[in-house]
Amino acid sequence: MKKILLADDKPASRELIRAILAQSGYSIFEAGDGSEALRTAREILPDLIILDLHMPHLDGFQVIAQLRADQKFTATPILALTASAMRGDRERAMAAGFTGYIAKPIGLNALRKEIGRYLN
Amino acid sequence: MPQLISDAERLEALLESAPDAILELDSHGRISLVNHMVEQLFGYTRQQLLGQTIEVLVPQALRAAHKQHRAQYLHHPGTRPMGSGLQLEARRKDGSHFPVEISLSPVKSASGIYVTAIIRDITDRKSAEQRQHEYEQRFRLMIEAVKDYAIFMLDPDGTVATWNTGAQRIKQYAAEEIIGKHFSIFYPPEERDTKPATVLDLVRRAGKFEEEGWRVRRNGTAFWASVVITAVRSPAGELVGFSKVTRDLTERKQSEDQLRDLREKYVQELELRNRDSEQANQLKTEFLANMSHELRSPLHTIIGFSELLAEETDKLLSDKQKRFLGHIHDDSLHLLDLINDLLDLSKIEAGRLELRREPFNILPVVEEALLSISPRTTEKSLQVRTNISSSVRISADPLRFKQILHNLLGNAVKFTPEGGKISVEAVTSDGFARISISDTGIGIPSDLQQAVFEKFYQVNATNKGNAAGTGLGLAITKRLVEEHGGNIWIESQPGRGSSFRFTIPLDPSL
Repeated sequence: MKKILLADDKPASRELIRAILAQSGYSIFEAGDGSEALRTAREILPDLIILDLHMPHLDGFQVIAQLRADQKFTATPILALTASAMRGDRERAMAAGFTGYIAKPIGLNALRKEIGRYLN
Repeated sequence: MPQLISDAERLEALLESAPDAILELDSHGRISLVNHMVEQLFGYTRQQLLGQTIEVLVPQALRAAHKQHRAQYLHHPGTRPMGSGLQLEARRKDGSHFPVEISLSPVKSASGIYVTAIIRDITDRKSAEQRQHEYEQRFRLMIEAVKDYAIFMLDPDGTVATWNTGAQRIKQYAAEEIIGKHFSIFYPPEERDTKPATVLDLVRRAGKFEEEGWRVRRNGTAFWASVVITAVRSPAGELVGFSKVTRDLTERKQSEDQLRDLREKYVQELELRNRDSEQANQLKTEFLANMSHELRSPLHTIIGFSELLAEETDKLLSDKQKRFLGHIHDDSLHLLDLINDLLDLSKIEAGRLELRREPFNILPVVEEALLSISPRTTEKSLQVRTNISSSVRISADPLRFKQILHNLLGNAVKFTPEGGKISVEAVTSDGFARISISDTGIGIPSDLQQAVFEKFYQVNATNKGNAAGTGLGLAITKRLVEEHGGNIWIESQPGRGSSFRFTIPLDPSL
């Protein structure tokens, strides 16, 4: 079973994504902030990581910088998740090493398709 | 044949044609000869005068003195003006007096001493002199009376020669105290040694010197003076002295200084406030960015869960319940649009909209925008046509251009009834691309064509099932077009449809 690590500081947001993907047959691990995301990633070596860009302490950009510096994660698909409509976020995210970008509000099928693209 | 004229006749002719009155007296003062001018000047005929003593032509009050003078003259006869240094007057037959100048010369003959008197009427000269004198008097009085200006003369060496009321008022010296003193006394002690001499040198060369500076009054207090010194020269060019006009501008100087201080303070204050307001603006923008993020996060969750709920309960809910769920979903999306638009508008109004211009072809962008609205056009069976040359390249911010298209296309879809038509066209002219988005909707009456671009203006959507707009879309669109240097306007025929047309600068490198 493919492992997905989902890092978002808002529990409702995590539950939403977990619920959207519930029927897709992935094993989903959650992290509530950046440090937890790093720890869990190193522990479970997920097949795909979803990082909220805006998290307290360590944000998405800082987490991906550490992950991409680690050989074990150079090829892992890592998707940015953000509610920010601030322009330049997508460009910044792609430049920081993210594989893709998911803008909130999340469309159910759009998310399922996007994840499927990387995991199947 | 030349007429023969005797010497006596020639002498008589000379006498009669002389411009001055000429008469002759014998040693008793009796008139023995007069010329024509005497008759004319005094109003007597020759016959009336001959044999009379000369006193008949002297004003009555002077007759006695005249007799004495006449006797003295005969003791010391000689050719000389009469009564030199005196103002002589003569008396006409009618008793009136007039000023005269008289020169006397003795003629000795066998029958005794005769005196020839040449009398000139100097009434005209006298009155000219009088006028000149009066003029000078008035001029002097005028200058003396001037209170606001110190007006006075300096001798060529800088000694004060004249004084006026203004000088006394401003400098506090009385005329008798200061006339004869050197004008360097008016300067502050530290300038007294060199400056006055330098200034006079300058005036000698340049003719004039003007300055404002500190001077001192008699009591030692300083005043701010405006000074004009002018070299005064005789008609021959010789330096006669200097005229000096001084004005006390202490009050003006003080108010100017005060004004300058105030202005400096004001500018400082303004700069401080500007800094504050810039900071406040920065904070406001940050606040808005944070706030909108905080507002949107829970909304995103609501939208996501309402979609999820609809999906998972599709077969379990009644139509009414599904409708309720639909309201939650649609209004959440609407709220999200509002928040996004408000953030956008506040950024534009704060002048914080940064356009990232780049040249691009509009055709693919229009096609992409049409694709994004295709679910809704299909739903309403709208025909969509485009007529855009593939070579129209503009210079614009691609994201903002998409937003403009999206807003206008969204409106067109919203206000066009089922089965209607929407078309997108672009032409170029004068360095601009003009893009038109036309529909076959209800149209907009001309009196409302400006109003629709105002914030929160909403046309009542008559079509059932249309989600209400935010009322900000067209306001934002107009601002975005204008930020690009373009224009937007409406051409519409009510009942037949509307065209929203806007211009965007072409890529200048073409």
